[in-house]
Amino acid sequence: MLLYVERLNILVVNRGGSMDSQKIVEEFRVDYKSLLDAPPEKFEEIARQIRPKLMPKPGVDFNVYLTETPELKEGEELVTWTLSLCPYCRSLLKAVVFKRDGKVWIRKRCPEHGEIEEVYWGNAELYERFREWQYDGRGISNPHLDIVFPCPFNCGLCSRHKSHPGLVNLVATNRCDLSCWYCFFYARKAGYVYEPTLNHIRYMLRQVRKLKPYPAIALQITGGEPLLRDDIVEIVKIAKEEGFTHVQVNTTGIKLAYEPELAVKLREAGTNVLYMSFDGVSPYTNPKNHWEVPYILESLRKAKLGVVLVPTLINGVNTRELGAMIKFGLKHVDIVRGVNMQPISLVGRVPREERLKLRITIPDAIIEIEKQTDGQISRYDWYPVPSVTPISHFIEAITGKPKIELTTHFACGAATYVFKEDNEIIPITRFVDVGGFLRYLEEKAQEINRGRSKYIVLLETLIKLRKFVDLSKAPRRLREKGRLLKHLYRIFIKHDYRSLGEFHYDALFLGMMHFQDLFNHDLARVQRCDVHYVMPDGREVPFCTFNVIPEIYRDRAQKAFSFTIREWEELTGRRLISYKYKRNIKKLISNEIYRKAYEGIFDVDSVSYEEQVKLSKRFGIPVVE
Amino acid sequence: MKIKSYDFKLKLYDPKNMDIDVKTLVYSVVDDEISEIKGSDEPITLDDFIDFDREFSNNILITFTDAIHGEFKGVRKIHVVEGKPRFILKVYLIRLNGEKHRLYRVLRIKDSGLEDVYMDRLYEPKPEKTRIENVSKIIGLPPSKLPFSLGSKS
Repeated sequence: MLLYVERLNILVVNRGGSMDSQKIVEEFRVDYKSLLDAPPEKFEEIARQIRPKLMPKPGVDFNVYLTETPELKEGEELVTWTLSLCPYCRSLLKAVVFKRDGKVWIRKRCPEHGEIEEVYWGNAELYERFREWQYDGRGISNPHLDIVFPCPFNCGLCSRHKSHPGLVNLVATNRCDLSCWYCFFYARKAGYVYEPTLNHIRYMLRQVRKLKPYPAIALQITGGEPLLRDDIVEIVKIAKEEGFTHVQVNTTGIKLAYEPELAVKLREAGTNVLYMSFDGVSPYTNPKNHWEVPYILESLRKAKLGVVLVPTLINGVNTRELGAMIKFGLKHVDIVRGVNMQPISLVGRVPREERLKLRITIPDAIIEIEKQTDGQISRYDWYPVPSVTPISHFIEAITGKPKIELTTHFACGAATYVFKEDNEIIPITRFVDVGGFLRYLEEKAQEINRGRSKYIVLLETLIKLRKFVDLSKAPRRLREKGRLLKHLYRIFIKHDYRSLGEFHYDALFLGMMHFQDLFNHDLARVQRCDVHYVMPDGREVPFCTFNVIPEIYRDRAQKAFSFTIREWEELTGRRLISYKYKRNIKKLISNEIYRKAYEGIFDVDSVSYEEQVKLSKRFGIPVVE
Repeated sequence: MKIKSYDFKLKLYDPKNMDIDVKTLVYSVVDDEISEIKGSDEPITLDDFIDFDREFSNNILITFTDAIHGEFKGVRKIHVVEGKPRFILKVYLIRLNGEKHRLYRVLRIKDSGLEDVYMDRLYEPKPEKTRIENVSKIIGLPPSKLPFSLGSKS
């Protein structure tokens, strides 16, 4: 039996479309308050029933216009053709990817909305360099959905998907204690509270773990602000029980500045790392949690819980602090495991001029980092995400057991490791021939697959390993007691998660992950995505579908399994607004912890108190004294 | 009943190099006999978008998006099935970057259309002997009766 409480006719206007494009779609909502005690099996049953109703509707949610192939213009060099979407009406279109003026661009033409051209990658040379490292995955052998609609309107996952999930996101709530001006996701603006019960979460996680041949083992609990849930520790425990070996919590961390004991509980429950918003080192660039970050780091130190700093990069807004953000990470490398930068995805009707101003792509950020670190971290120190696939291939060939492969599209992400010695930053590529080593591992994996003895290959690799390492250029602490070689031996002999973890303690991971938007959307990237979301109806959807077409994935599915705000307030006896964070800047800046955290990175006395108050309020966080 | 299959050649340069050539042979299994059903060629059109993905996305991880991405040449083949076979067997003869592969797929005819019963996947390789035994068990015929007995070359 379906549990519809609402079966409404909703008028949907395709954004930017004419009146003709207005369509009627039905909205489905389950009576979520009646499911508070329902077991996971009940959620499975309901999800199976309601899923077809939530699927995108052709002619309503999308159109297909594939007859028009965009042409190259003079001075343009073809990279490839692909499929993309119109940013205004979501129609499926053919697109051309090409080089011009040293950059890579994407262009498409919508019969309704004309030509749309966008920067795809800011540097054509790095595009070619990264392209050499593309490896594709092995797909999903038991897809959750049959193919009915064209990609990307059939996500869930279907058999078109080429990569298995590397990291799956679970939205634990859409409540948030902040109300950032640019966010439309949180409960008060959405008009409903999405907060799945623990049994519903268990169902979703089981659904994720069912995928073959490799279900995800890494989970990110996200929101809203997941730490607002009183049962967040229980959620982490459930994730561990359901087989996720890596659990991270995506948060602003603000709650941990005031509740250090929560950090301890999270770690004890099995949280591996926090994934914390951190948009810069100054209050200008990071009005979200600049004042709280020093206290959060203290709480994490006490709890021995590592953190990855996550800046969203907006050109001209915080990109001037790229070098400083990395130096901040290195200053706190005892607890900061990485800095994972996310170039902005432009959502909504952003005019072309504005897009060109705000847009930053992975190579732009990499080159900016090169400038801001005086070449200490060069553009050639970075490798694309799929470049590590040979490690998986090698370990799989040796052990005979399937290993997770990170086979995203090469344009989606980049990474390197850096070490700090005195005032010098030393990328791993200065003392390890990373490229040579990865190619060697791939070659050896293929030899084993062709029937060569794995014992002989392993021995050869161990002997050869030293040749890829120049210890004289390695940081002192890695040279001492042969720690670097020990790390490498452990990773490639023991090939377990812990050895990699131990390596991390000596290094700062630098990453980039550029999520797409409708302007630069490329289905070749979507089909290779390995960062997914699990939805309340059990579908597993790539990040750049879930968040890029939220109205037919994220919002539709979450709303269907939500409480009205009134229902939620009646159930909990609390007002939604009572969680809103108010900042006491005077108190936060008066403690030495604040000053010391930024010492040598940012002059905290350079901004007046009045200016700080203004920055916080302008961002949407009230200030109290 | 009509059954679709596709033969195609695809050369990809982005995001990675790939040179693949796929030919599909279709057989019907009636009682204890297996016989090839020849198809007639038709051009592939945009209407094949969904069917092409159903045919190749799971077993060889090629999608219509890949076809758009690269240099693609192909034909749709229509096979007319007489009577009511117990099973339809599809054999895919693949040359991927110079290496030959042979994959099997068993389908059953239902009122609602064709239903997959068995499918080999290119990227989860199992020995061909095992795969042929799987097919043989499903369709209830000895391996020697299958169109490609062990050791033969495609």
